[in-house]
Amino acid sequence: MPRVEFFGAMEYLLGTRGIPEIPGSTLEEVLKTLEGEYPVLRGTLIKGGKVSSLFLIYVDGKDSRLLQGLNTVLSSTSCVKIMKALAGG
Amino acid sequence: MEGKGMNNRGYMGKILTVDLSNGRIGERALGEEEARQYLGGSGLGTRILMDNKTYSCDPLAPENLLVFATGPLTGTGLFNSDRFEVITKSPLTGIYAESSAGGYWGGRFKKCGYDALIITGKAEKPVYLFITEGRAQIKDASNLWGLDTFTATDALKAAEGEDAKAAVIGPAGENLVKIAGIVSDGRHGRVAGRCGVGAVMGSKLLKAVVVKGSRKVEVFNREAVISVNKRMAQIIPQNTQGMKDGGTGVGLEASEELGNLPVQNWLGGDWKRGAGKITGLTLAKSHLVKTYNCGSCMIKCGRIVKSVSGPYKGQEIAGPEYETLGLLGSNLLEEDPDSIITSNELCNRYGLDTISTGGVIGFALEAFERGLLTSKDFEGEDLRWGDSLQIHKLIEAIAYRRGIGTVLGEGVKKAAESLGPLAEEFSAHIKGLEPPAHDGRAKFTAAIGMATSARGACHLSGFAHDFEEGAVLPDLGSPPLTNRFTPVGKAENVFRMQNLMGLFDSLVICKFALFGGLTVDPLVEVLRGVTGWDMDREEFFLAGERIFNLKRIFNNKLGITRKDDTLPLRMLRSRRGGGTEVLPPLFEMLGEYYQYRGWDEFGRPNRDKVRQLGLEAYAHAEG
Repeated sequence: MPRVEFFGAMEYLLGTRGIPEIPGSTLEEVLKTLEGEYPVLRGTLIKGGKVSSLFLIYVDGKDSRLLQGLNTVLSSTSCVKIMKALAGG
Repeated sequence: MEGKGMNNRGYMGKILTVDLSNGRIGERALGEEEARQYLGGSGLGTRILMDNKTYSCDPLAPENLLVFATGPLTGTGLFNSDRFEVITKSPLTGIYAESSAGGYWGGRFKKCGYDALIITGKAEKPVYLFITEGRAQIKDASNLWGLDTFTATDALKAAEGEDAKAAVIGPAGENLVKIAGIVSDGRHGRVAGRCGVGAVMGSKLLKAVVVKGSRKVEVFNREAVISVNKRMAQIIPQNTQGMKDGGTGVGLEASEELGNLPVQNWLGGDWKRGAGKITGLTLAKSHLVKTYNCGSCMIKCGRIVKSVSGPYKGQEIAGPEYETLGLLGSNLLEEDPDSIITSNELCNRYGLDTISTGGVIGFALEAFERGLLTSKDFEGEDLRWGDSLQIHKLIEAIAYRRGIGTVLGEGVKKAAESLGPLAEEFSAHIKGLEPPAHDGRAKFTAAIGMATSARGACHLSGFAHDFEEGAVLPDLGSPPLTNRFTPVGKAENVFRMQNLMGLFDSLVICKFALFGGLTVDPLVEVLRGVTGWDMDREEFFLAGERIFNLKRIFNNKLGITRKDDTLPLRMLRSRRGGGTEVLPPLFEMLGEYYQYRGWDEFGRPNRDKVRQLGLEAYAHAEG
């Protein structure tokens, strides 16, 4: 099963660095599972049928928006990384 | 103890002094006490300004000091620490000024054997300063005057060697444009852009400061640097992968969604379609050639992009970062990435601050729309939002003080004053400095942080806003921020973060390391290791509080009080829509903030605070 890793503020907010095994064969399935698992994430990861712009979500090292977004297919060894999208300079 | 033994503990132990009026070059020892209490960077620079009563001079007069300062971490090989600060009195705002830049100049300067450089006076003709190990020379720059920053940098490298690093002004600084900055590292531009520091350099007829040092920066305990570097290497690159992939603008769409992005001269509203076109990720797909980084950086947010249209079509040039995308993009309703790339390139070449330039052009666009400026002011042409060619023409007019550019180059505050009361209603500035791409209506920490920043509208002196709705530094000692639209906890968080950010600007280290997971304890640990001081967290934060308050005292002497700790009227009174329907209760938050600060009702440090921080020599507190 894929695994999920949380970074930066996400790690602090959820109190964990990640989930070693999570069911799902697409990114959408995994994100929906997370939203169900963590009340604080409910309605935040997916917005308007897309990955929310408030987060950076990587699949196997690549930004999911550069892949197939929510339809990105995950393998049993896929790693989904989630972090807040920050901007500044 | 003056200077004794400091040259093997993170400091070089010397400050270089240059008087351009008489050509006198000297040096003095850096004292142990001033180093420990003010560290370096903007802390040390502020103390130097105060010791010389710089607040009383005209910013463009020879008497103004222009201080370049590094910190104890600069050049040590510690992650994200090859930076420098420029500290002076601002010709734009008339108050305290500091501006920070990364790149490689800071490290190479320190390796010449100096912690700071103090420049005063005015040369008789254009000059540049060439600094090598233990030696400085004033050289003729007549042939460089008038050149843009890139061409001048090329010429200086040809003269002094490819390995030389130059901090240069462009035509804007030469022409005393009040929003001119100082550009280092040439085409991989890293810019000390804010507060008009480039105009101060221009007023001294100083084209460039070229450095070429390679002396080793000795530290008390090298293992401490290695150990912290190893630990940070485990987390910073992973936590900041987005900034490497998409640059500092990777979160631009999130910023728009949160109502943080400036849209149409801060009027606000939805701009999702445009944001999607100019966000860092879009540019990564369509324009990015490669990334680059500052010295010792683990993040690599710098971009080299290939312009696909416009005057730089086909050329590989520096890409815009978030603030530039905001101010020269969304703020002007400009949704053509290539136009923003061109604007960024023009500002870098002319030596203009992209934030203030975008701010003042946004103001001009609205002034035209409202009939306060007419086509006569723009060579007979109409001005329209998102008109790329007009934007580029205005940038050039500002840099060369042509036509309406002369007024706009004075900054939004003075431009608005020249157009009358109606213009002041939609002028966006705080204490005369144009806001960066962060809206106090979207995040209340940004409201209070920018209102109280020493240099005016600055997001970096508080920097709490990026931790709203997420987490504040876990070891900062303040509660996490879970609701960006409540005043609860905001004053305390800004108070603590400002003290910490003052330390970052003094050490000197990049604040993006916070996104990477840097916390307070490793920072104290490495400072102890570098300097050998037995400094604990309490002394560390006290230094941050001292530095913040000394900047405030500098401004108090110039008449800055609570009345000036405010926001642009638009941020205080107008709901921006697009998901941000509330206004920041600034008055309420300021009262609480002043209590944390120990300031009186006029916004001055009270007697107890002055005594606690050891600032009696600088402040004459009433209460």
